[in-house]
Amino acid sequence: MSDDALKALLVADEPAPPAHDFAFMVEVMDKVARRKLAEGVITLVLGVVAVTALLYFVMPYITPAITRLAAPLLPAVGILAALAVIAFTWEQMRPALRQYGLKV
Amino acid sequence: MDIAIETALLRRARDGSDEAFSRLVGAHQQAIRAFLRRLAPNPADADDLAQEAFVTAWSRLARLRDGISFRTFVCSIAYRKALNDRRRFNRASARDTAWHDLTPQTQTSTADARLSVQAALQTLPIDVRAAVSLCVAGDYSHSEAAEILALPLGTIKSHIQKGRDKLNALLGVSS
Repeated sequence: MSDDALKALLVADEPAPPAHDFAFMVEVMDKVARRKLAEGVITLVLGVVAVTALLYFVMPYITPAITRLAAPLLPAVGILAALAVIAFTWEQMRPALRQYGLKV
Repeated sequence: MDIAIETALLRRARDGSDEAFSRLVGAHQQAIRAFLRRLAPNPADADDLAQEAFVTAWSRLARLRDGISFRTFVCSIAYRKALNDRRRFNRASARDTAWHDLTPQTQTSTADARLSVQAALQTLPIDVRAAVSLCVAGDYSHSEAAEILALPLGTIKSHIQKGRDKLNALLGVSS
């Protein structure tokens, strides 16, 4: 009897939080989104620092080679850059084009 | 929540689905908050700790072992957060109210005093209170409580017995 009575007392004293609490869920997911953003920013900053440090040490050795190859490779680099811009723009436009019924 | 559904949601949440994780939060928030409300000084602090526990659980989803339910996983994180919070609170209280020790404190007779349930719970050490909250007030098994509190099964059983005896005496519940 005592265990049930004790359980009843404990349950009655502290009413349970609501079974469905949308506000609580939203607050948790908001904090998760903030954590995700912070982790993303930290990863990016660390990546940029690492690449910058790498370039700092490597550039003195590869700069002469880049300078030598720059003139012959200029047309190819230009074409590749133009293709990259077109591909990126296409990828960005696809969702909007789909909304207009175009099968892309 | 059905185990198969929970497993599927956990898999999706591990793969980065926020929608799946929010459904897990929705399904278990009541149990976690109810547990923490018996450990924290007030319901608002308990809810803050519960939110932090869910966020920590999200970042550690990959560490959730097979055979451990999501509720047990989050509860164990929540318990550690409650312990840390209590240590911080105790340190702050010790600093702020050192003068309080100079005031003579009257010891209430446990035989006569009928304390409120919350006050009675507060007299228990936090690990005993947590074990009682899980297994007496809640519907957790002893092995789940052992996993959550990171204590041996025998210690959990002894904590529950001690907690029951003390609460029965304080609250005047007949044995």
